[in-house]
Order: sequence, then C-alpha cells, then structure tokens
Amino acid sequence: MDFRDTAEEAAFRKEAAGWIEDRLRGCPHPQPAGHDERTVNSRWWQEQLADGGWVGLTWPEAYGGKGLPIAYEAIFNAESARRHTPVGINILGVLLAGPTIIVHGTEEQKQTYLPRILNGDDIWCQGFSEPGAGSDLAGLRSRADRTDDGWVVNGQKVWTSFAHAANRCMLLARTATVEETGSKHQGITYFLADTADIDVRPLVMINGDADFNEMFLEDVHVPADRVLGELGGGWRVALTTLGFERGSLAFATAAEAEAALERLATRIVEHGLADDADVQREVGRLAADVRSLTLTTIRQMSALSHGQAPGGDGSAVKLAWARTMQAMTRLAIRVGGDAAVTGDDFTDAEWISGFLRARGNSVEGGTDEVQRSIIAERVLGLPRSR
Amino acid sequence: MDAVLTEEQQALAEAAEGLSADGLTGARAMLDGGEAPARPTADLFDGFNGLGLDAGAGGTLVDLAIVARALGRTVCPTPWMAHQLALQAASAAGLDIADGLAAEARWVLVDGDPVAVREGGTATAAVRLDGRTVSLHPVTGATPRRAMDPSRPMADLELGDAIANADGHADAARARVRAVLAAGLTGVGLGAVERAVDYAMQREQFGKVVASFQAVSHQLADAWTGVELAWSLALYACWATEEGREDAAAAVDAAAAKSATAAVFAAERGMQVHGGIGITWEADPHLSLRRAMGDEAWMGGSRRAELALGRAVLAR
Repeated sequence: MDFRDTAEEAAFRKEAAGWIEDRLRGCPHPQPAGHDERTVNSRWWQEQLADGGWVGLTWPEAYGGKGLPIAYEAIFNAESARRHTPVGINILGVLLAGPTIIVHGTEEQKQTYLPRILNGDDIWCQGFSEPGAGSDLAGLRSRADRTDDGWVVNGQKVWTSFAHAANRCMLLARTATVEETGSKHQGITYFLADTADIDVRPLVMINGDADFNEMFLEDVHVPADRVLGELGGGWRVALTTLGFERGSLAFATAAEAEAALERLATRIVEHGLADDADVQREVGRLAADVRSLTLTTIRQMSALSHGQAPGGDGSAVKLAWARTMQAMTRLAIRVGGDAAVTGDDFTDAEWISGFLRARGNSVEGGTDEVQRSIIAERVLGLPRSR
Repeated sequence: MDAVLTEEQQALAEAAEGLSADGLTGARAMLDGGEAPARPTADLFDGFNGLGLDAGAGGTLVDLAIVARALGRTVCPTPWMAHQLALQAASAAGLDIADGLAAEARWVLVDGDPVAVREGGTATAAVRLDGRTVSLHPVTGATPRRAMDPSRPMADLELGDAIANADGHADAARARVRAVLAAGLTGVGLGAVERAVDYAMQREQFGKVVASFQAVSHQLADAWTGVELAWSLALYACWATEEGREDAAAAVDAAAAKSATAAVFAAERGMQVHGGIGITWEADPHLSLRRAMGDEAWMGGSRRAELALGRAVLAR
C-alpha cells in the first residue's frame, strides 16, 4: 500500500508541470470570453501538446505513442487540470478514437488514422447519442444503407462535443434492423466517418455556451473501408470507446475538483467568510469529498496496473464528482451574495457559468441513474432493472 | 502509485473476516443482555495483539485498519479493539506498552474524564488523553453504564495514580485512534449494505424480488458509494499517519468526517430496504445503526471533523 508517486512518476510529474506552466504563458485568451475564444485556446493547446510530445502517452510505441502505463496519462491530466489548461481540441481523438482504433482497427486503418491524431491533422468527435437514444444507447436509429462503394447514412445525433471543429467522427449507425438481428445490440456498425457532409448545429446550453452540437445526417456517404471492427458488431467496439471514456477521461475529473476547491477557498477568504463556522463546515465536507475522489482514483489506477478488472469505483467517483462540483459552484455563488449574481465581474461570471454548466455533470458521460444501476448490477449483484 | 493491499494484507483481511464471521450473533446476544462472547476475542489476542506496532504483532496502521473494517462489517463485539486503540495511543506518546502486550491485559482508552468508557467493565488499565498529556493508569473500580450499542459495553471508571505519563503527544495519539475508528466505520457501512442486498434479493413484493426495483437498488448503490469513497479516505489516513505525511491531520479529519456519515447513511438505507421487519428488535439492521452512531461518537463526531478540515482549508 503506497499512495506516493514512484521516483519515475514523480520525475514525470515535475517535468509535465514545468512544461505546462511554461507553455501556458503563451495562451491566446487567458480569460476567454465565450465559446469562440475557448475554441481558439483549445486549438492552440492541441498544437502545444503535439509539439511537446505529450499526445498518445499510453499508446504503443509502434504507433507513435510513448507506451507508458495509464498512471502517467492520469498524472499529466491532473497537472493540466490543476493549472486550468484549455482542453485540447482533439481530446476525443487522443483519448477515445485512437485507442479504440488500436484495439479494433485493421493495420491499414491504424496507419491511416493514428499518425493524424498524434500530429493534430485530424480532429475527432463522437457520434453516439441520439435524440431517442441517450442512456439507452443501443436504441439508436440512425441507419446506414449499402451503396456500390460503401454506405449512405441517414439520422440525427446529439451531444456531440467538438463537432463544430471536427473533420472525423466515431459514428454509430444500424446496418441491420432489430427485427433482422433479433437483438438491439446486434446490427450496429461503428464507422470512421468524415464530417464534411454532416450538418452540424451548435446546441446552446443553460450557461449560454455551445459545448455540444447536434448533427443531422442526410444521405452522408461513407466509403467501404471506414468500418471499424465487424460489420454489425459495432456495439462491442462502442463499449471499448465507452470504457476509455470512463478510464482516461475520468482521471482528470478529480484534479479538476481539487482545482475548483482551491479557487473556492480563495473566493471565501476574499469575501471575508473564512471565519464563518457554517461556511467552514461546508468547506470541510467538500474538501473531504474532493480528497475521496483523488484517493479513490489513485486506488483505481493502482488496481488497473496490477491487472485487476475495473470495479464500480469509476461509477462511484463519477457520482460523487458530479454532486461535489455542483455543491462547490453553488457555494461559490452564495458566498458572493447579491453582487455575485450580477455576473459583471469576470470571476463572478465564471462561477455562474461553472455552476450552470455543472448541472450537466450528473447527466453527461452516463447519468447518475445509469451509474447507480451499474453499481447495483456489477458491484452489488442486483438484478437488471430498466 | 501502488495503492493496493499487498498479498499479506489481503490474507490478513481474509483471516479477520473469518474470525469475525459470527460477529452478528455475538452482538445480538449482548443486545439481549448476554455476556460478551469468548470468540473471536481469544483468537484476536492470540494472533494479533499489538497489530501495527513493532513491539506487538507488527505491521502498520493500515493492517490494523483492515482488521477494524472486518470487525465493523459484522458488528463484531470484542474488547480487543479498545485495547488496540489504547496501545496505539500509548505507543504514539512513547509510553512503554510491554505490560499491555501481556495476555491478560485489557487496556482501554479514556479521553478526558473516565466516564462512559468503551469496554471499561473488563479493563485492567486505562490510557488517558487529557489535553496534551497521555498517561497510563490502573483501573480501581468500574460502574457499568447503559449503551446505545450494547456490543460496545460502557462503564464509568475509577482510575489510580498515573503509572506513566508523557506530555505533548495527545494529538498524535488521537490521530491514530480516529484513523482506525474511521476504517471500522466503513466496515459497519459495508456490512449494512451487504445484508440489505441479501434481504432485497429474497424479499418479494408485486411478484418479484424488491432488489429489482430501482427505488431500492439505487439507495443501496448510493450507500455503497459513500462507504467505498470513505474507505479510500480511511486507508489514506492510516497510511499518511504512519508515514508522517504533511497532510496527515487533514487526512484523518477527512476520513472521520466521511466514514461516520457514510456508515450512518448506509445503516439507515439498509434498514429502510428491510421495510417493516427492519424496525423490529429481532432484525439485524439496528445493530449496524447502533454501532455506527456509537463509534462516530467515540471517534469525536463527524461535525467536529468537518469543521476542523474546513478551517484548515480556509487558513491555507
């Protein structure tokens, strides 16, 4: 039992932290006013990451990666979140599309797509959810029909982050109906599609930002060599992607919560409430929550590196993270009093935006209800309940 | 990072789970006014006296946490736990614990006045924390008290003059005690969830087992989540205390804050899932709830821990 970084991990952490701080000084919009400036920051950060060689840390060396254990990616993501870096515009390509292609792709697909993810030539989005298929993803209805030289896809996608910037899409569509296959998990195919002919419209969220998009597909042509994995066997491939989503991506969330707690503490001190016992107790509860996220993540990573199968810890962390982010941002506005809700001040406005955005934390990446069902079924062994 | 139990620690966990398997039976007997059961106390003193101390059975505070968790899981009654906490406190203060490692020694822990002392009725000596001072006293008299958790019997004690004392180590002693109690509380919560799962899998209503209703299963998922995250905090609190990490005090406060609230929440949810039978004397859920509330108080309470942690965060 050892919660410490190994000597190698500590050296890597130090190097990463130094590099991040150094590069961040050149950020085009240190206080981004809205979505457009954030997108500029995200593009710029992806270039920095590629230039510094921090992309594909866990990818095999044969495909241009560094071949490092997952702990290193977690360390890099944690140091990034701690310093509030922009999100790399191709984060979904690096953390989801690339690793999924490494597992399921043909050699030709690997040679085609992987280098372009590493050097930032391609930007990926994830065309999974649909208006009628959210938590029940396998209920998706977009369909791909065969043509002479490939497929033509019709349907609608929603919640696609980065679709406004992406040129590639991890696209799920039915190539056979449920009636034909007898199971909604059969007949789904995973395509590596281009977005050029997809109609992308921003989805404005309650904080006014457009982090997500809707995608409308009308007779979108996808060449024959763009099927990832087996034809009709896309559900299994999608589960691989979702596994990476709960793994690599989730590891940054604890660090994000730690950074938010620090900013919250600073704000409380600035508002002269550091001696208020009610506030102290609430901060104490939140600090304990935040610590529990970090420590459980470290236990989880350690277990993974010992080859143990992921248990329910990912879902536990996801549930607690959403609740904690929501509570921290709520408290931050409340301690600001009436003046804070004007949002005139940049910091106030950031907290208001963060608070509203945090409502999505208990929905995105698997709702609270889905996480509870995962724990009930996989950890506690309770029956499926839908 | 290598935050997993070692093979030895996994073996220890299995051994402790084996020893405490009948814990509920003993807790039930004591609830109904019976004597403390001989097992697993005899085996624990035989094999694990002074666990986490070089002078004793060896290992670290994490090992003691593992056994505390197993005992909590079945609400296992045993004066071994109070004895270990007293040894830890004395050792942290640099007092000689050789007498406490004798087979017949039954030490207890006193914080402040010697009232409502856990396992006081069978105590031979008491380690007393008073302000900054830690002292060791013979027990000269004991008056039994009622206890919310009869599986941790309490007594008011009369103490003789200090045999030994040390100034300035009481906080270190309290940290070790609270970290281990926090680990025990996560076990109490886990056991409550596990037994509620068993019940929900066999109790049928509306033609199916109640475990198949999300209104039931999601409560248990929430309870498990709290307990699992608190276990991370307790493990770290024990590890950080043992290693003398800079954030050890905050780690203990965080573990104390979350383990108690998680254990009480789990015990309450477990009781709710049992429905009507859950609020009867004959059913087991109240054993977990009594232990959770009783041990939280023993640990100094979650409210105080939350406040201390919040103050520390805001004073940085």
